[in-house]
Amino acid sequence: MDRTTRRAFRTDLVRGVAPVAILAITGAGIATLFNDSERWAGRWGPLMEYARVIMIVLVPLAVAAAAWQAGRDRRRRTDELLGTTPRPSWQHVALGWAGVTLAAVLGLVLAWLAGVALVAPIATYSGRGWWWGLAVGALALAAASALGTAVGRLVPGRLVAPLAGIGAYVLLGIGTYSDRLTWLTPSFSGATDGTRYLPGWVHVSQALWLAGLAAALVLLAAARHRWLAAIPALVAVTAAVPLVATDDEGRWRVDHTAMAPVCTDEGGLEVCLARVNAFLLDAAEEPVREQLARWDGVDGGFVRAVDRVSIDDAALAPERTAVLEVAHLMSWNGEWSEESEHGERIETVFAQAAADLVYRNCRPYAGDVTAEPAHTSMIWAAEAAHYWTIGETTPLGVVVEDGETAPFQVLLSRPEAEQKDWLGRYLAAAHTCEPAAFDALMEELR
Amino acid sequence: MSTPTVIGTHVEVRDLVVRFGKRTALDGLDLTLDTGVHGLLGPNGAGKTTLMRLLATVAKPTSGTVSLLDHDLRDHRQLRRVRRRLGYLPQHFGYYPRFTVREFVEYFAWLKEVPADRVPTAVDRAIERVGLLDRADDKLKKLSGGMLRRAGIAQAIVNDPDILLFDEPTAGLDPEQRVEFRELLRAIGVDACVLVATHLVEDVTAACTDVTLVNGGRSVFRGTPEELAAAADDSVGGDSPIERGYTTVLRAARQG
Repeated sequence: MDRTTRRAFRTDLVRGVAPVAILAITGAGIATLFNDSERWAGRWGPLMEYARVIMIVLVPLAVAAAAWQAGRDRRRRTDELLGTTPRPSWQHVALGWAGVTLAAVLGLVLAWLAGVALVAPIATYSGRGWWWGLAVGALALAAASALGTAVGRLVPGRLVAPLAGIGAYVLLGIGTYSDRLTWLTPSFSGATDGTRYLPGWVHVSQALWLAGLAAALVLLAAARHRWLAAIPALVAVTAAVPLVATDDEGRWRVDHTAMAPVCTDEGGLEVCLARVNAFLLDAAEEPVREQLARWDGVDGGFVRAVDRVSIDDAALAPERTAVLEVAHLMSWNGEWSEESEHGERIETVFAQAAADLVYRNCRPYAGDVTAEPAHTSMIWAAEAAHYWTIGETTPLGVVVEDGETAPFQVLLSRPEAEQKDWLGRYLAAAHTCEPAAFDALMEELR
Repeated sequence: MSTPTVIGTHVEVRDLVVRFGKRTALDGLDLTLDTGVHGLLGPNGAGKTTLMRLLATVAKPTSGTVSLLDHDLRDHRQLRRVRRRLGYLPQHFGYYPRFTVREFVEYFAWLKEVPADRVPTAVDRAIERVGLLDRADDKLKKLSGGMLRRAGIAQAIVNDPDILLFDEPTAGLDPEQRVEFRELLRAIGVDACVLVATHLVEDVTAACTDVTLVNGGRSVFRGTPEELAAAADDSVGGDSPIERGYTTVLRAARQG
């Protein structure tokens, strides 16, 4: 690129729609990224995945900005003058496209860097291949800018730019609802827990699909021989085939390094978090151990608590292990949350682990939670154990009719030794899944 | 001032016909132009702007031939070569209001493929020639109509064109600016072919070496401004000899 071209590019960049696009995309990116920051804070992989989730907002903005830039010659009536110049028109169009692309990518990078502030200082796992996902996101913005450029060049009208943006939003929305088509959109429908990653072929296929699409659209917008657009379009379609032909299980891979447990053991009570969540370990250790201590004296009671994402299948967890949904207690900035915005506390998370023993081992709903459970006593017993773990006689959200006493209230009103005896038998029943054992447990609490 | 780069005919138009649907804008026009400042006169709808757009290579003829700088415009490579040596200021001049004068002229130097090492000097020279050097870093949206017109002229001359086409260039210029513009035309016309389409016959008298009068898509007069003035019938109205000559020739063409 010679000096004159660089100067022309700079002028187009500074005097065109790019400065507004940078502000809009950075602002929208940060706002949407931080709206759900507890889903990615402290973890590189989920940060990238969430940067791809917010593409549903960033892509339409890039489309609209590029359409506005491409419509400038028509709005300013410079097309006739431009038509007398020797430089091939695709170069003039490409300059505008490159400017909007640069602005959009800068917006994405700035939003991502804001997210880095909540990841880099605390992350305990560097992640696996997430940077390719970010690079594909940048390519997606180049393709979005190309789409806007083509629309702005080919369709007249001042409303074309906003309408193109809205159209892109609708198309992305429809695309993300389809299990297969969603892989042709740059937008992810959600972020993983950081223990999954996409293999290289998915990133490469998406990159080729988006790069081919971008090149085809730019050629379509401005090339003298528009048939040339068929070449990159063919590359794009070829790359798209494996993306839509593979089912979800074939795409995401388990990252065993991210799942590897990082443990601390004190007084025989072990607390383990997945490596990807290990930045919470220092803060989680004490409250989790306090919960484990409550089970001291319970026959078969928990002596170990593990992060749910650190094991492939909770049903295969070792004996006397509470499987905790630690991610529920992650705050917006990646710190341990005493109480989440949904009201979750370590007591409620632990209580869920106590009840889950029955749901996981005995499957009272037989996989259909809308059906009537085969043995209601299983459910009632699990609920009693759940509320015993929370340790409140009138927990928030529980309604007990006047004059009645809920089974867990009966349990909590008894001497501690009796409570622990009941819980020991509950744990034993949760292993055998004998309905009669649960019936007997509930009979005691009437 | 650059040395002339063209030896031979700058503009050669033969039996040119342009139709828009059922309307004929140019009807068998012949025109040959070389170095100098040439005036193009004619009433509204005579075909002046159509001819200018054809010579500017933004429109194509229905039939007939257009040769610029001895190049065949149907060949893409030759067309591109011609465009490098062409300057054009359309009647309705579009511009980018957020660009400064310098950025705008520089942008067109890029579009006209002016060699990179020559661009800074060419831009400064073009802006200086139209008298906007002191406003070079002002945005176009801050300029008056006359200044905008001059910025448009600067982009047209930034590549030192061999053919320069001005469609109503003095619209919006005040009398002093028009005098300066005529001086600029004369200076450029020493080694380039300048065609000025205008309604203002005094511009033609003051700046042009010859004049072509078109009517109904045909050339009805070709000669010097003095010859046009000499054709005047004293019985027709007009404030100056050339205005009377213009009216006389036009009426004769309509009757013939």
